Amino acid sequence: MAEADPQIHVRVTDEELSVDALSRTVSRADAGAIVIFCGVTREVDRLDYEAYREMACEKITLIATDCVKRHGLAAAAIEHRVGHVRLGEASVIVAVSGAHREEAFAGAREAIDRVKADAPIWKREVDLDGTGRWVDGTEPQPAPDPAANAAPSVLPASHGITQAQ
Amino acid sequence: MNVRIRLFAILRERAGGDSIEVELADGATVADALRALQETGPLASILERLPVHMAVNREYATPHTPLAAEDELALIPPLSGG
Repeated sequence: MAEADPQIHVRVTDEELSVDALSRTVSRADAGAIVIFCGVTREVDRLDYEAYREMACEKITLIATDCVKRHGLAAAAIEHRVGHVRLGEASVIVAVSGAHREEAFAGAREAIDRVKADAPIWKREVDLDGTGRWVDGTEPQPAPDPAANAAPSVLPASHGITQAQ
Repeated sequence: MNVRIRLFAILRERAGGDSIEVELADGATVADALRALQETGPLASILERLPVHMAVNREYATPHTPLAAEDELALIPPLSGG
């Protein structure tokens, strides 16, 4: 099972996220590049996140595993916060490592795009006075066909993943 | 058969609880369950305007996916993670 894969770390948590901790998680002796994407609460006092936790963990684990395979990464770590996330705090962090920056940037980009498109997680904007509204979301996008992993260049355009030319 | 469907976010709020039970004919599909929820109950009005998907055993299902009483079912409103 992917959970036991030493290259992969996934967590959906109500604890504060740490860029430093996730960077250490993906650090490897043979990896010359670490790329970190951090999604941060902006413009509102706080965001309240809710997840279908079991399914979100499974989906994010699949995405991380897939990105490691497709981009030849050394490791991938993805954490998503639930509960109250105040202005300036991280709601999601993606950290990946690879031998070189090209695959690390590409892998991190694909991972965050697919987490947003596929993981069953929702957010509600909450103002200082406590009033809130659920953010308009997007319908789930189908993940790439696992059979296409071995040959990513033949992924049909309908999968919505941009391939490097 | 009687199925229990987990609810999240705006759907959980509208229903006033984190799951809803629906009585369906044996052999019913995802489309049958969604139709039943649109016809009656606390989610009927919101489901008229909100596109929802159903997850069956933690996978996004199609309208044709058949349901069984022991399946883990959830309604998935549009996603806004990240």
